[in-house]
Amino acid sequence: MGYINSVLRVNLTTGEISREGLNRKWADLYYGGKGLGIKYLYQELEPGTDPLSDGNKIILLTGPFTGTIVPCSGKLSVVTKSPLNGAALDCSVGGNIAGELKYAGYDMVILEGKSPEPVYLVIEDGEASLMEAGFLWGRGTLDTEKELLKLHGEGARVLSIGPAGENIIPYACLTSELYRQAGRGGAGAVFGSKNIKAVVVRGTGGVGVADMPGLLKAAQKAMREDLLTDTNLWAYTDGTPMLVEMSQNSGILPTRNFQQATFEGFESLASPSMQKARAGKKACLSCGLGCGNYTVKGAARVEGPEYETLSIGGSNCGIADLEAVVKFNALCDDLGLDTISMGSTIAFAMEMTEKGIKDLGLRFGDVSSYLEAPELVAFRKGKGMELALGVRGLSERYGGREFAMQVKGLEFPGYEPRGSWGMGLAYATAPRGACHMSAWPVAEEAYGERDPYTVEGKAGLVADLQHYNALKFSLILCDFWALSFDLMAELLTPILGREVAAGELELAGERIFNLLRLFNTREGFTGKDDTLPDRIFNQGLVGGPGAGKILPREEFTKMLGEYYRLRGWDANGIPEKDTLIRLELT
Amino acid sequence: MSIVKVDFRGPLTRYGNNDGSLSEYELPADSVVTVQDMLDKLGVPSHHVGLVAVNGQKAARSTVLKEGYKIILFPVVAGG
Ligand code: SF4
Repeated sequence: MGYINSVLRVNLTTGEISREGLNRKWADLYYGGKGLGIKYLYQELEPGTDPLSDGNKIILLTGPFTGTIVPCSGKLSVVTKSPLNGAALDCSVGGNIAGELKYAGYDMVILEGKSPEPVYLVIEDGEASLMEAGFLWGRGTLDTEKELLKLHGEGARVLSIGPAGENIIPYACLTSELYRQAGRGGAGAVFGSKNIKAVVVRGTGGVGVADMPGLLKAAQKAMREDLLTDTNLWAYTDGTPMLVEMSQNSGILPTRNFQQATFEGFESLASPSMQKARAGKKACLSCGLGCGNYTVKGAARVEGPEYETLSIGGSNCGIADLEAVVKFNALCDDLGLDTISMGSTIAFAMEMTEKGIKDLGLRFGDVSSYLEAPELVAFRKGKGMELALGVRGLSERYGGREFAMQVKGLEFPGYEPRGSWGMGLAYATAPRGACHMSAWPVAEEAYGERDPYTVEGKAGLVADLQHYNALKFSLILCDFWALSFDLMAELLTPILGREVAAGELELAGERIFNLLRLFNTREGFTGKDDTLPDRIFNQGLVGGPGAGKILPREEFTKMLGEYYRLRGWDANGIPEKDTLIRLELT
Repeated sequence: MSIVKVDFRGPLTRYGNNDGSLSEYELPADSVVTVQDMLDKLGVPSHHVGLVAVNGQKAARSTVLKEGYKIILFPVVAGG
């Protein structure tokens, strides 16, 4: 129970569409979402597969909570091999499409091969077909979605790429419901490389659970006593824009390509300013929090901007103009670009100009060139050809590697590691590169009461958080709900109809994290890739509460060594045999 | 009379004035008052308070308040 036990497999090369059973043994060990996706990818992908070749696969997944009344369970997982860096990539997108997929009769969809012509996939109550998509090619995600809803009915849910995905920009994303993205790591480019423009889903079925009265009771209790309390309601009242002011006050707000960690113009991007521009709220399926904010500022409107866009596309580019950031966000969403990688790349280009390395016409604080960039990138026009390389690619071509803010090719999100040393370890060890979704120790260090400027205790903290998130994103629960393993187990028990223990879930989180490591190891990543840009080790922060702070390289190395030992990995960061046996990964 | 200004964010606004705007808190004349003392006095549950900013910088619960200080209380957050 909790699963449909059905997988849709679509071979885009031949057009063959088949249905198969869900691998229950894997579902027992990995549950769904991130974990189950990486298990399928690990088993099915030839090592060394070019992410943009027909050998790569895209897996769309739900989890055991999807489509039930469990709150905050509405996200869809997307798993593939990243075109940005060749690492395992998983990301998720909010909205309603995950529930719709289960109601249409599938736990997951595997897209493989490469279509000779642009197509989109339609799944309608168990039936699936590929449709010609030439008329959508070149169109933005907003337009694409509206067109597809006209054709397939307003009740359908759409996941699509914009021109950036079609033109295989390595940081192209997927969009659903106009403004929700599976943002990081370039899943949109994999769609584009396979000539698939969109997935449309319509389902009217349901999801069976083993013990409905038990689930009702558990879900109601979770809502009343946990979800809708002051521990989580910030997501509703403010959402992520609240973090702008918190980052400013704790000295971790990326500013001018991570040269500073406080921004003189932060107030125009902070939550009080966002609230004044708020035009409405939006929630994903089954969510009691509803963190989405519709924002209208001047002529610009978007659902968002989230903190990552306000910081990386705002302060980090020296932009203090909220209307400009809203516009930037809307442009990236429509073109199908990850705002974090796009913003980081612009910020890097701005500093390249400042340092006299290469002038791509971008200057800190200059709104007009900043707003031109996304379209040039998405269509690979003019300087967009260069910016499409991303931060690592640009630094390899022109120099500036010491301030190229990326790990394993993935650009930094909005948290300064010199002001949150555990976050430095999280960036260095996250499977997809500099990522805030693998672990988020800033809540305890920068925003909480743990000393942010020490490595003491951080290895264990980061490892625990990585297990927690790996499991949460496999059951598929939203990251904004700070629930315990115990509560997750209480909710899962009535769904599966067997007693689930918190310890089982914690261990599964560790298993999933290690499997991601095995995937990356097989692809040639080693401990040498678990590092940070030189700026973090050598250059003191300018101004703010962390003025002069670095993360000393020897302290980082000590923390990383401790982390490997705690994990049961060898000195090169490869899981030891005993670890694999303990985690049932042999 | 020594006054500090207190601002609340997120769900904590309910502990401020009715409209959630800036509140004023009067420091007792004859004793040392920390952030924690003020939270207790205002009846804000400590475990729901995350970051405390005093004059634009992160502060500790033990930070001593002085006349004219501006305090912002943020809730605990998760996710990112
Ligand atoms: S908190 Fe936000 S992102 Fe999370 S499930 Fe709710 S609406 Fe979606």
